[in-house]
Amino acid sequence: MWDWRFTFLLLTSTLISYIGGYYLNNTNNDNYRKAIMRLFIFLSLSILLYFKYFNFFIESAISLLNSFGLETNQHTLEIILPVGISFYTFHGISYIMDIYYRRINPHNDIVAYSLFVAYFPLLVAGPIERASHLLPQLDIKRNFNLEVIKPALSLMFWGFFKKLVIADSAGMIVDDVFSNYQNFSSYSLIFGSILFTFQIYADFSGYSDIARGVSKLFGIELLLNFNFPYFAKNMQDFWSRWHISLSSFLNDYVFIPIALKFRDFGKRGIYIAVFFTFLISGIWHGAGWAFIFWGILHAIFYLPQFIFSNKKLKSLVVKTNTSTYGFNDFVNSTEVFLLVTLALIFFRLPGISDGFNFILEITKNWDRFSLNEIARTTTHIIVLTKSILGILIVFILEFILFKNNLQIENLLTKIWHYLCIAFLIFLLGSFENATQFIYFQF
Amino acid sequence: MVNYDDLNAIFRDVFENEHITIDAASKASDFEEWDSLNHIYLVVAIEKFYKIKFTTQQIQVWTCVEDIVNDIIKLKG
Repeated sequence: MWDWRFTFLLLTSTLISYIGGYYLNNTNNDNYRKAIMRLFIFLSLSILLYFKYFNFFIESAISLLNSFGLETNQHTLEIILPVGISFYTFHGISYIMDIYYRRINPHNDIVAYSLFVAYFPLLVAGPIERASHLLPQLDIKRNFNLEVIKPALSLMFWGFFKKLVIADSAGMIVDDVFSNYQNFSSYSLIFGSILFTFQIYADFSGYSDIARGVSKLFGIELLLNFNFPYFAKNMQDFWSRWHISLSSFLNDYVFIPIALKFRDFGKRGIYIAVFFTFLISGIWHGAGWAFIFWGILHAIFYLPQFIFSNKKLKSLVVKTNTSTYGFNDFVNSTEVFLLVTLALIFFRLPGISDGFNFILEITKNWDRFSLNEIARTTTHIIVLTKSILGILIVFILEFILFKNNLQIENLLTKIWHYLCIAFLIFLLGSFENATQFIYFQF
Repeated sequence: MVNYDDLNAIFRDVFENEHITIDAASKASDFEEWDSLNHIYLVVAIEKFYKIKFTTQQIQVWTCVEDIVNDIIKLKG
């Protein structure tokens, strides 16, 4: 949610990380630096913890006490989640950590630093930028360049197409299926959960494309956040392609420090690091046990290839040769897609028990099949047609890009391409059902 | 002194690539194999070979092979 008073929160968070960076640079004593780093990370995280997780902790503690027979009154606070808090907090943390690890020097210009933390295209839903990547771009003088307009617009049009044609159309069907899952057949539940997997990709990668395109107009390049994740050949490959800015943040500041800490435990040390990385990923996504369970599920999907292999771990990390992608790779990608879909059921529903009930309903209702369940009104038929058509267009084009190792901005350089996409957006876009981006809530 | 041939043998073993040759300026981006997981294996292999223990902070600031060599010399005395 947005309220002008939250600008003070943004200002506080910005000042904490900026001052932290300043003090870190003022000493060479390792113990003192470690203490400063921990203090300022704690201060940054405490704002996030209070606004995002306070009620979750209270409610979880109360239900734990109640389960032991201890009656307590529930006193939660009316705390509103400020928009973008997870993203700008992580910007500040990456700045402190990179100065602590001496990868960057503190920035002298507090105005440029504030722009890095609160840069508007990525403030509400990322990508999570790194100080070492974005700050140098803010320091240099940029001149208006007509040449960047074409790739910038192509990214924005592509993002709007994904959001308005696929995500918002699919969202209507998905909301229907997930909110009344007890009333649908197994076929419709499977269809609805697969459609949600497409919806969340179109929604979130669509937002990232728009953010990257808008930023490009100002001559500022943002990090690539999605790299054709549904063509991934295994879960390791998937996580190197999905929400890349968060994955690389967690890799650098969670996985590597934990793996180094437990390096004498051999493979077990890596398992511990993988587990905690996904656990924190789940917690980052939301204050709820369902998000935590989603994170744990991904750790479970990620680890078996390590545990049951005699090979060194590294040889399991796919070096993707996109041009030779064939039928076997397609089978592997389908397997990854279905695992991601299974985990997303818990991501979409409010509680873990809802997720299990949804899966239980899938196993129960194979006997009744009716197309009318989902396409029961003319509106439903129209949005369903739009979303399926949109998915086909996006995935055929993305497959061509993936095979040729290209990004969308490399392909759409002629103006008529924009006009075609603009026409398709207006023709197929779901303006009457327009919804907020899913990742705004994080 | 740190022998670069010894270090090179460790890199070749960890990266499973007999064709690589490292020098003082070599850095992670020079080798496809030098990802975060291999970085950890590299640390373990170097520590085992030289019978030393790096701190996490030392490891995190390495930018090239020369940084690794300097820390080995520091720890070996």
